[in-house]
Amino acid sequence: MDILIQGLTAITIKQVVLWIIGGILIYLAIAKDFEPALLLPMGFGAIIVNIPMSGAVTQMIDGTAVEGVLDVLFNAGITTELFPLLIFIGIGAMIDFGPILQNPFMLLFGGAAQFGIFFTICMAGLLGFPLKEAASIGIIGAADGPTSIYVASKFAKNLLGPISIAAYSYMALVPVIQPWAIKLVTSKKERQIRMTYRPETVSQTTKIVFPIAITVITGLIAPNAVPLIAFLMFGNLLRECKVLDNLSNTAQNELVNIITILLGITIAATMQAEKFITVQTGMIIGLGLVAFIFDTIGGVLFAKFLNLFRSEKVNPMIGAAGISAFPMSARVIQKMAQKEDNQNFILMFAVGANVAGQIASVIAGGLILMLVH
Amino acid sequence: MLNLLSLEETLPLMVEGMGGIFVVVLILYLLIKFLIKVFPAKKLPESQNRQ
Repeated sequence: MDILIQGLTAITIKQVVLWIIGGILIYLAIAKDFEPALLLPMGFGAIIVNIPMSGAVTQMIDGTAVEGVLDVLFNAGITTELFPLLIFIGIGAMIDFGPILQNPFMLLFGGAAQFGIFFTICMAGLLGFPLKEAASIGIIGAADGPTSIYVASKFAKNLLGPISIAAYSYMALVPVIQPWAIKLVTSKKERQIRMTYRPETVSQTTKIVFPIAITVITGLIAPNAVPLIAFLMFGNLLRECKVLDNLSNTAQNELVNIITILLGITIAATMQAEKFITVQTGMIIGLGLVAFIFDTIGGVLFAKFLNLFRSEKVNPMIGAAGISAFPMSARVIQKMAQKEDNQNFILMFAVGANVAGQIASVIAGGLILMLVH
Repeated sequence: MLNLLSLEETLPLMVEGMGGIFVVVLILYLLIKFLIKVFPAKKLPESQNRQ
């Protein structure tokens, strides 16, 4: 009889709190559609790893470590960085670089909107996090889940749980965070600025050469970033070569879906109550919000700075679209522009900046890997 | 208590990081301009253009 109730008697308050958090993640995923592909597996995983003596994670039984399946997956897919990299192939196959090739000027906004990453690294350092942990927290500002997971898996595996939750939750909250941050630093008149779209015509050869060239160039500058950039661009090459539609479709659908299922539930292995419920976790969630806010502010202020020198003004909201949350951020910007002036169409600029953000966030991840020792 | 000493590490990282991103972004801008020039899109014949 004792054996049957040993699980029940071993429950701790912290584990119950993690069940509730798991339940909230599942609720947000299903009822609010907040990044369900990741938050639902993470929520369920948070529950199963916090069942007392759960066989899903490694347990010491009679002095011997019995490896749990989630730890096996963690060591195989996260410690080796395999899962985030495989997801990058799928993401690369999903991205159409057309908007940025047609309007390469938008790349600048992708760069500027990474400001939140570095600002947050400074803040995390001030709060006492060691540099590698601060860098892993700052990269939440890449607004790019796999990049955040990749950098954190290199620098701070112990923080993977809260970093992933923050990254994916705030991405889902872009429509709430960005309008507020944009209004903080722009006037109504600035938000009403109209722009004329003059796209370049782009050949298919350019679309094919671009992913190869970008891999070589960024690889030469930041060799540590080669896996990140190369897997992303490999996926894009599958898409653009137009002779491997089956592989491109597989990368976009089956591959991404399988890895997403495994990634979410595997990250939950780091959400064991004793390690997860800490002041540190609260600070990471808070710093993640800081990262998103300062990405937006950085992008907008950069656009305003450019306007000091340009005769043809840029709507500064375009700067905010330079984050990696695609296409959500671009949609938010267009919606805001039309709210101020219902005849203002800046969607194509915003999409260009948003695609630039996808490239720049990966470059930022690579540079952090190179600069932080 | 804020760890102000950390700024000795993080501020240079911010300068190098943002500087690095802008350098790469500018190189990519030039790369795209170059590719568009070297591999121009084929213009549609006038008849197809009208359609």
